[in-house]
Amino acid sequence: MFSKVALIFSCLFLWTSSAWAQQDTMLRTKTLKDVRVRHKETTTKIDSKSIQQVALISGKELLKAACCNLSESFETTPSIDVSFTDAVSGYKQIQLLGLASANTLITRENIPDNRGLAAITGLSLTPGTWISSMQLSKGTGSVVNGFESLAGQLNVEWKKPFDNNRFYFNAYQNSQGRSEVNAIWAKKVTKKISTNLLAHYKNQWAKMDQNKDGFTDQPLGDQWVLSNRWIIFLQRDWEVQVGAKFSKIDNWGGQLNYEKGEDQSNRLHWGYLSNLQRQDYWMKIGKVFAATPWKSIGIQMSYVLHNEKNSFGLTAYSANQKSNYVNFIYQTKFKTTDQVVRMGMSWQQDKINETFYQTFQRNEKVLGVFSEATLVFSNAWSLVAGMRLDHHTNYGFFTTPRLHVRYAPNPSNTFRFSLGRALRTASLLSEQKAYMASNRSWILHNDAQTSTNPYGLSPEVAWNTGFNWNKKLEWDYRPAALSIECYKSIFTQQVVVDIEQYNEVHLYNLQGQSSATALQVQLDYELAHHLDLRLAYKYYDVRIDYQSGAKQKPFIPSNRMFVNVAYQTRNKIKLDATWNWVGSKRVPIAYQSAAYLSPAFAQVAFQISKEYQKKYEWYLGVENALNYMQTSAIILPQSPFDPGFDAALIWGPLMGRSVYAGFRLQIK
Amino acid sequence: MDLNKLYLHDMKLLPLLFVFLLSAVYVPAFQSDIKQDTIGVRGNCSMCKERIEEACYVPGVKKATWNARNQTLVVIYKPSKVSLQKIVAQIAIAGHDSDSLKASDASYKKLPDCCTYRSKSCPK
Repeated sequence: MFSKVALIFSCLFLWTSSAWAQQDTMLRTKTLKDVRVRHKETTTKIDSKSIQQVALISGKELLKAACCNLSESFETTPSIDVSFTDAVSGYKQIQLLGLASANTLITRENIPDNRGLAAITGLSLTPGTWISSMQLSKGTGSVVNGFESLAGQLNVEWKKPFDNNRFYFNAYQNSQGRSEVNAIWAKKVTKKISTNLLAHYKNQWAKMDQNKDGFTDQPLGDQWVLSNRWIIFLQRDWEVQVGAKFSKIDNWGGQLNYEKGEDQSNRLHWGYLSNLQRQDYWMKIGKVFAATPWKSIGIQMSYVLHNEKNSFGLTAYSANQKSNYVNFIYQTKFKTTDQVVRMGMSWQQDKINETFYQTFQRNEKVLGVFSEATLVFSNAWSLVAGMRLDHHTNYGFFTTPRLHVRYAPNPSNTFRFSLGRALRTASLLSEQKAYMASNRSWILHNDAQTSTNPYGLSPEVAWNTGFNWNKKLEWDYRPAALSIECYKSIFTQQVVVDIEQYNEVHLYNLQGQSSATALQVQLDYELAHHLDLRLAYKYYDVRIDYQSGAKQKPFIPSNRMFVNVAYQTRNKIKLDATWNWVGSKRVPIAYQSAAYLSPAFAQVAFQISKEYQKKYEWYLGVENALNYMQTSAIILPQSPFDPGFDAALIWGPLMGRSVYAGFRLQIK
Repeated sequence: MDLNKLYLHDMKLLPLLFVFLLSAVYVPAFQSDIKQDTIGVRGNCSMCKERIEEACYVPGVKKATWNARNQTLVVIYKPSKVSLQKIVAQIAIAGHDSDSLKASDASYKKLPDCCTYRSKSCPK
């Protein structure tokens, strides 16, 4: 097998060597220390030069949200939808292009993060205050980062140890009994060695039941995340980064009168318990050749240990994951620096054991080679074409072609087109953990052809294509930006999660068609000096052929509207208001409840903040100011051990108005 | 499940939004009372640029762009609402000399070291 892979690698090498190319900054910014131009006026902007549609979300944008962790960082970013997974665990999940977060590749400084078991929980393990910026690209991403990203890639840049901030501290408190503390220490040990230590602690200590369903809205308990990393600049332009992150979540909730650790076998009180521990280790080594700066090499490695134990009433789910990842990237040019090629080899192993009524074991090993050419033909035309060839233990060989084209006829208009294929093993149980907060029966429909695969089901294979237009305008001497985006994902293979039958979850291979269409129109305009307006409209059409026929995917709104107004006064008080309208969603059938369309609702948030001497800052805000909640979110809350009980049919906010205050301190 | 009904009902919003956006793109701004002036303003660095431009934005000022290399400021404003003298005075209060008005020593001394344009230029 290995000789086969080697042969194919050499073939691919020959193919790409006919299209050598280079770009010096690409690998450097991707793998090593990031140097970014700060734009004071816009906190989120589309990079008009980049060939892919990439929205740069600055740290300042994150400050606008109440923002406690990654899943809560997108309140002012219309591209990403955030919703509760269920009425018990308190987890929120994100959606991009109408597809669940597992379809978006989340990377920590370009190393894949949150894969496998952490598809949903992992989002809460990246504290918002650790983030310096994010880059959100829609559509299939670069082949350099793997074959999985279907809806997009979200790269999260952490605060750097060498960025001149010695100490950072943040404290947060909201009216719903949630406290948070974050601290970052950075130290330049020598001119070339720097390190930072990042700490996060969160505690939910008040039992809240704002939607009056007899269940705790947000589980009680605490969460720790600690990280340390070192960045070392060596001789001859070598750079090394080593890091580790430790996370621990200890949560409990459920019925209001349930106490932690209480025996549930007497079916007195329904309780939720969750214990999670995760360790992430990573290392990056890179070099940019000083004499030939278009040439660089880099290697990224990571190792993940993940352990979790959950119980939802009498239902128990435990899982552990061991993953390792190696990615080697070599970059050079062909004739001129307008023709760059990146190529390399990657290895990825996920060993996952899960226990949920029975044991599910899998050990996925994927070895792959990739090559990607970036060709700049003129100021107007440029493209990135990439190809991967991977071998997977269960799925065998598969290719991942991807193409991005940029056409900018003039500086104010940019058109982009993208097309690509993605493949991914759905980490079914952890991604659908929400349905464990119900008494549904789980029915797995194995196919004979896919019986040796993880869960006996096929991988998810899809094509995504997108088109977008960005226009820069000036109205009344002030800048405006209009963007129109349209993406379509078509699944050729998919694991369908079917909750269309009362009291059952069916999991089966897609027979028929499945697609997700997403349209977004966004307008950004500076209404007056320091008064920014952002308007967005989104339309989704996500259809799946279920066993019972073609239907819209539940809990995806067809329409969404978004308005954000940000204002800064002369003495630097920042005011921010967001109005977020979510259209009707389809809610499937439940106990004594026919399928229905949820009502449309709006959520309003405000924030005010003031900075002093670029050192201290306080902020005060209101979330869900209209106090809109999905009441009776839980089916049969009074008898949670009955078969009809269901806490996973969630279409709206579960928590009411929340007032919060926080403080930030930054010492240079 | 009457999904089609939902679409038809909700889709009414879509064309409305498009009309709004497109009209915004193509409606020309009605501006008759607008004046553009170019004046010399001293300064050093990007911090100076931010300070100078920020000082200009008094009611009536549409746009202010300072160029470090030419030491010039292009200001677009409504003469009916604000005078050039007023803008120049704001720049002087911020600590920057212009062709027609020198900043007071008190204002100048408040500038950070990097921005002391009278004695030195900013390291590149």
